[in-house]
Amino acid sequence: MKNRLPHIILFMVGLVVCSGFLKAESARSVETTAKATILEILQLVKVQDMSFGRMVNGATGVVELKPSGERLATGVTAIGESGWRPARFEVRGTANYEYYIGLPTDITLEKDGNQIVIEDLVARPSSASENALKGIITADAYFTVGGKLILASPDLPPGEYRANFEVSVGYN
Amino acid sequence: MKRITYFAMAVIALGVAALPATAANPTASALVEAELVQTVTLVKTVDMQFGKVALTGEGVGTLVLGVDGVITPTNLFVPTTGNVTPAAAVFGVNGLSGTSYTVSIPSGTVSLTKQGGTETMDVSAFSVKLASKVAGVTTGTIGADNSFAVGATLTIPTTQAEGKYTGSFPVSISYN
Repeated sequence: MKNRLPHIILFMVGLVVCSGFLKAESARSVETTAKATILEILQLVKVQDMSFGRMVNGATGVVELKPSGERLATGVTAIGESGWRPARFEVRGTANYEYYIGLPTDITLEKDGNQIVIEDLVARPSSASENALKGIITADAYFTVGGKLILASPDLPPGEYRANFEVSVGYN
Repeated sequence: MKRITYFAMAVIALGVAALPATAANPTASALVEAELVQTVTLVKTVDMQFGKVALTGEGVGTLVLGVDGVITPTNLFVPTTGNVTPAAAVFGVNGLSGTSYTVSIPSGTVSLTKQGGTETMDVSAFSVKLASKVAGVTTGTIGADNSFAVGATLTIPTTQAEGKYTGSFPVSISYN
């Protein structure tokens, strides 16, 4: 124990020196401050699934579902007065920090082997006035996701086409 | 030598502490769905029929054909024998049950042309009645309103040549 004590002291001195706190016995001294910021763990929760609503089969075209909730159909007839909605995700983390959004390139919906593809997925963070893949964390931060549904064949049978998709977020 | 070892340990300890903490970016999964519904179809099941009439000579004749097939003549004589039964046009609708649709009928005038001739007469004031709705309502629901009737008014000028007149008029429906 007697032999180890000087070594332990030396070890502690080494720590102090390396952490930037240097105080020499000479007339000149230098002080520096080391800072570290601990961010809250980023959390992502889905609060609303995405739905394109109802469309009439027998034609080809595109149904665009915007993150704002607006639905636009080209070439096909989209019906119903409601029933379509963008996906919505809540983001929790350290306030005022920027986060980025990761979206899939496309999504393939299926029904009994028949497929419909969603392309051009876009997001709109609550902190932004237009579509973006970056947002600012606030107390109630969220982002919505939309995309373009491609009806490539007029022969697609009626029914409900579904898929799951994954999004991610990270501190920027 | 031992001092060097402890110093190295200290540096390593600090180096490890200085590494940024890493964690997997959080992900979340959502469901996306779209529903395709079958195209709505429209089939004519009964043609519109005004029947036989004759001008009384009291002026322009009009024959109102109601959606129930009942006719109301003005300045016209309607023979009771040898006549055909008047009928409103009837259409059948098929599509996704429970889906709302709207009927479109002519808003203006449609001409009937004399068979074998060029003379014409006008049909106007088209009206509609969906199966479960009162007359005039143009929006129905498949399942409750799988058919609808269309009536109209025939106008016969005082100098109209006798003969058999026919024509066609468009009717369409669309999902709402």
